[in-house]
Amino acid sequence: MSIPETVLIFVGSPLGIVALITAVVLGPSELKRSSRYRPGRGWPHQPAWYLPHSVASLGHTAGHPAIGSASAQPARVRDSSAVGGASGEW
Amino acid sequence: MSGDIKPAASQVQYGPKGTRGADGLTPRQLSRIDEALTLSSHETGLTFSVYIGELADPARATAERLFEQLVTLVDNGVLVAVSPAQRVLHIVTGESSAMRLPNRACALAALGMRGSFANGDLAGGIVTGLRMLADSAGRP
Repeated sequence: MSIPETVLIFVGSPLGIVALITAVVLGPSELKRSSRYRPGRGWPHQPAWYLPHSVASLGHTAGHPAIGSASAQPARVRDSSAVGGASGEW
Repeated sequence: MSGDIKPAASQVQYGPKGTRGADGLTPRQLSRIDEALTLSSHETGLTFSVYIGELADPARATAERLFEQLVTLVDNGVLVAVSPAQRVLHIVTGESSAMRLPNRACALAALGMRGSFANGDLAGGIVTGLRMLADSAGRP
Protein backbone atom coordinates (compact mmCIF):
# COMPACT_ATOMS: atom_id res chain seq x y z
CA MET A 1 0.00 0.00 0.00
CA SER A 2 1.37 3.37 -0.94
CA ILE A 3 1.37 6.34 1.43
CA PRO A 4 -1.50 8.21 -0.29
CA GLU A 5 -3.67 5.11 -0.10
CA THR A 6 -2.89 4.66 3.58
CA VAL A 7 -3.77 8.26 4.35
CA LEU A 8 -6.98 7.98 2.35
CA ILE A 9 -8.14 4.89 4.21
CA PHE A 10 -7.09 5.72 7.77
CA VAL A 11 -7.81 9.49 7.74
CA GLY A 12 -10.26 10.03 4.94
CA SER A 13 -12.84 7.41 5.80
CA PRO A 14 -13.12 8.27 9.54
CA LEU A 15 -13.55 11.93 8.60
CA GLY A 16 -16.19 10.98 6.08
CA ILE A 17 -18.11 8.94 8.64
CA VAL A 18 -17.96 11.76 11.20
CA ALA A 19 -19.22 14.26 8.62
CA LEU A 20 -22.07 11.95 7.66
CA ILE A 21 -23.20 11.43 11.26
CA THR A 22 -23.00 15.17 11.96
CA ALA A 23 -25.14 15.93 8.94
CA VAL A 24 -27.74 13.33 9.91
CA VAL A 25 -27.94 14.59 13.51
CA LEU A 26 -27.89 18.34 12.95
CA GLY A 27 -29.42 18.61 9.48
CA PRO A 28 -33.14 18.31 10.23
CA SER A 29 -33.15 20.80 13.09
CA GLU A 30 -31.15 23.32 11.08
CA LEU A 31 -33.65 23.10 8.25
CA LYS A 32 -36.57 23.48 10.60
CA ARG A 33 -35.06 26.38 12.48
CA SER A 34 -34.61 28.57 9.45
CA SER A 35 -38.29 29.55 9.21
CA ARG A 36 -38.92 30.02 12.90
CA TYR A 37 -39.58 33.46 14.31
CA ARG A 38 -36.89 34.84 16.56
CA PRO A 39 -37.42 38.15 18.33
CA GLY A 40 -35.03 40.70 16.89
CA ARG A 41 -34.36 38.80 13.67
CA GLY A 42 -36.94 40.57 11.57
CA TRP A 43 -39.85 39.13 9.65
CA PRO A 44 -39.16 38.75 5.93
CA HIS A 45 -42.68 37.66 5.01
CA GLN A 46 -45.61 39.30 3.31
CA PRO A 47 -48.26 40.86 5.55
CA ALA A 48 -51.20 38.58 6.16
CA TRP A 49 -54.64 39.51 7.35
CA TYR A 50 -57.11 36.95 8.52
CA LEU A 51 -60.80 36.96 9.29
CA PRO A 52 -62.78 34.05 10.72
CA HIS A 53 -64.05 31.70 8.05
CA SER A 54 -67.78 32.03 8.42
CA VAL A 55 -67.77 35.76 8.88
CA ALA A 56 -70.94 36.07 6.84
CA SER A 57 -72.85 34.05 9.40
CA LEU A 58 -71.56 36.00 12.37
CA GLY A 59 -72.56 39.26 13.90
CA HIS A 60 -75.90 40.81 13.17
CA THR A 61 -77.14 38.21 10.76
CA ALA A 62 -77.28 35.82 13.70
CA GLY A 63 -80.44 37.55 14.89
CA HIS A 64 -83.31 35.10 15.11
CA PRO A 65 -86.65 35.96 13.61
CA ALA A 66 -88.23 36.78 16.95
CA ILE A 67 -91.76 37.64 17.95
CA GLY A 68 -91.24 41.30 17.32
CA SER A 69 -90.69 42.53 13.84
CA ALA A 70 -87.62 44.35 12.61
CA SER A 71 -88.68 47.47 14.45
CA ALA A 72 -88.18 45.68 17.76
CA GLN A 73 -84.53 45.14 17.04
CA PRO A 74 -82.05 47.80 18.05
CA ALA A 75 -80.84 50.01 15.30
CA ARG A 76 -77.76 48.65 13.68
CA VAL A 77 -74.78 50.81 14.36
CA ARG A 78 -71.70 50.50 12.27
CA ASP A 79 -68.38 51.40 13.75
CA SER A 80 -66.47 53.95 11.81
CA SER A 81 -63.34 54.48 13.82
CA ALA A 82 -61.25 52.97 16.58
CA VAL A 83 -62.14 53.93 20.11
CA GLY A 84 -60.09 51.68 22.33
CA GLY A 85 -57.74 48.79 22.64
CA ALA A 86 -54.27 48.17 23.96
CA SER A 87 -50.68 48.05 22.81
CA GLY A 88 -47.63 46.10 23.76
CA GLU A 89 -43.99 45.66 22.94
CA TRP A 90 -41.65 42.76 23.52
CA MET B 1 -57.74 58.59 4.01
CA SER B 2 -56.90 54.94 4.21
CA GLY B 3 -55.82 54.44 0.66
CA ASP B 4 -52.14 54.54 1.47
CA ILE B 5 -52.15 51.41 3.56
CA LYS B 6 -50.29 48.59 1.95
CA PRO B 7 -52.65 45.66 2.50
CA ALA B 8 -55.85 46.70 0.81
CA ALA B 9 -59.17 45.47 2.10
CA SER B 10 -59.33 43.11 -0.85
CA GLN B 11 -56.35 41.25 0.56
CA VAL B 12 -58.19 40.17 3.66
CA GLN B 13 -58.43 36.41 3.72
CA TYR B 14 -61.27 34.51 5.22
CA GLY B 15 -59.31 32.30 7.55
CA PRO B 16 -55.77 31.13 7.07
CA LYS B 17 -55.47 28.34 4.57
CA GLY B 18 -54.11 25.50 6.59
CA THR B 19 -52.49 23.86 3.61
CA ARG B 20 -50.56 26.86 2.45
CA GLY B 21 -48.03 27.19 5.18
CA ALA B 22 -46.98 30.57 3.87
CA ASP B 23 -46.46 33.90 5.62
CA GLY B 24 -43.73 32.44 7.82
CA LEU B 25 -46.03 30.12 9.71
CA THR B 26 -46.35 26.38 9.40
CA PRO B 27 -49.64 24.84 8.25
CA ARG B 28 -50.17 23.56 11.76
CA GLN B 29 -49.73 27.02 13.27
CA LEU B 30 -52.04 28.53 10.69
CA SER B 31 -54.75 26.02 11.45
CA ARG B 32 -54.42 26.74 15.17
CA ILE B 33 -54.88 30.46 14.49
CA ASP B 34 -57.78 29.68 12.20
CA GLU B 35 -59.47 27.59 14.86
CA ALA B 36 -58.95 30.21 17.57
CA LEU B 37 -60.27 32.96 15.29
CA THR B 38 -63.38 31.04 14.34
CA LEU B 39 -64.12 29.78 17.84
CA SER B 40 -63.64 33.09 19.60
CA SER B 41 -65.72 34.91 17.00
CA HIS B 42 -68.52 32.35 17.28
CA GLU B 43 -68.48 32.41 21.05
CA THR B 44 -68.61 36.15 21.45
CA GLY B 45 -70.44 37.44 18.41
CA LEU B 46 -67.55 39.80 17.81
CA THR B 47 -65.52 39.48 14.65
CA PHE B 48 -61.89 39.03 15.52
CA SER B 49 -59.32 39.71 12.88
CA VAL B 50 -55.61 39.00 12.94
CA TYR B 51 -53.07 41.01 11.01
CA ILE B 52 -49.46 39.82 10.93
CA GLY B 53 -47.00 42.09 9.22
CA GLU B 54 -45.35 45.43 9.19
CA LEU B 55 -47.13 48.42 10.70
CA ALA B 56 -45.80 51.62 9.20
CA ASP B 57 -44.81 54.29 11.67
CA PRO B 58 -46.67 55.44 13.69
CA ALA B 59 -47.78 51.90 14.33
CA ARG B 60 -50.85 52.73 16.37
CA ALA B 61 -52.24 55.03 13.69
CA THR B 62 -51.62 52.39 11.04
CA ALA B 63 -53.40 49.79 13.12
CA GLU B 64 -56.35 52.12 13.57
CA ARG B 65 -56.53 52.74 9.84
CA LEU B 66 -56.48 48.98 9.25
CA PHE B 67 -59.34 48.79 11.72
CA GLU B 68 -61.27 51.40 9.75
CA GLN B 69 -60.87 49.16 6.72
CA LEU B 70 -62.00 46.18 8.74
CA VAL B 71 -65.24 47.75 9.91
CA THR B 72 -66.25 48.43 6.35
CA LEU B 73 -66.33 44.65 5.92
CA VAL B 74 -67.65 43.33 9.21
CA ASP B 75 -69.64 44.37 12.26
CA ASN B 76 -68.37 44.29 15.83
CA GLY B 77 -64.81 44.13 14.63
CA VAL B 78 -61.77 43.66 16.85
CA LEU B 79 -58.36 43.91 15.24
CA VAL B 80 -55.30 42.17 16.63
CA ALA B 81 -52.32 43.56 14.75
CA VAL B 82 -48.92 42.02 15.30
CA SER B 83 -45.68 43.24 13.78
CA PRO B 84 -42.99 40.63 14.50
CA ALA B 85 -40.23 42.74 12.96
CA GLN B 86 -40.99 45.85 15.02
CA ARG B 87 -41.93 43.76 18.05
CA VAL B 88 -45.15 45.62 18.65
CA LEU B 89 -48.74 44.50 18.92
CA HIS B 90 -51.91 46.55 18.87
CA ILE B 91 -55.42 45.53 19.76
CA VAL B 92 -58.02 47.90 18.35
CA THR B 93 -61.68 47.97 19.31
CA GLY B 94 -64.53 50.04 17.91
CA GLU B 95 -67.58 51.56 19.51
CA SER B 96 -69.59 48.37 19.67
CA SER B 97 -66.74 46.03 20.58
CA ALA B 98 -65.29 48.39 23.21
CA MET B 99 -68.44 47.95 25.26
CA ARG B 100 -67.69 44.24 25.50
CA LEU B 101 -63.92 44.59 25.64
CA PRO B 102 -62.80 47.41 27.89
CA ASN B 103 -59.25 48.64 27.50
CA ARG B 104 -58.25 46.82 30.66
CA ALA B 105 -59.26 43.47 29.17
CA CYS B 106 -57.33 44.28 25.99
CA ALA B 107 -54.27 45.22 28.03
CA LEU B 108 -54.44 41.91 29.86
CA ALA B 109 -54.61 40.01 26.57
CA ALA B 110 -51.73 42.06 25.20
CA LEU B 111 -49.69 41.14 28.25
CA GLY B 112 -50.36 37.44 27.70
CA MET B 113 -49.43 37.73 24.03
CA ARG B 114 -46.21 39.57 24.81
CA GLY B 115 -45.03 36.68 26.96
CA SER B 116 -45.35 34.19 24.12
CA PHE B 117 -43.94 36.54 21.49
CA ALA B 118 -40.86 37.24 23.57
CA ASN B 119 -40.22 33.49 23.55
CA GLY B 120 -40.55 33.39 19.78
CA ASP B 121 -43.92 31.67 19.84
CA LEU B 122 -45.86 33.76 17.36
CA ALA B 123 -48.81 31.46 16.77
CA GLY B 124 -49.12 30.56 20.44
CA GLY B 125 -49.23 34.22 21.41
CA ILE B 126 -51.95 34.98 18.90
CA VAL B 127 -54.02 32.01 20.05
CA THR B 128 -53.55 33.02 23.69
CA GLY B 129 -54.58 36.58 22.97
CA LEU B 130 -57.70 35.53 21.08
CA ARG B 131 -58.72 33.18 23.87
CA MET B 132 -58.21 35.83 26.53
CA LEU B 133 -60.17 38.38 24.55
CA ALA B 134 -62.98 35.89 23.97
CA ASP B 135 -63.07 35.03 27.67
CA SER B 136 -63.25 38.69 28.62
CA ALA B 137 -65.98 39.46 26.12
CA GLY B 138 -68.15 36.53 27.17
CA ARG B 139 -71.24 35.49 25.30
CA PRO B 140 -73.42 38.00 23.50
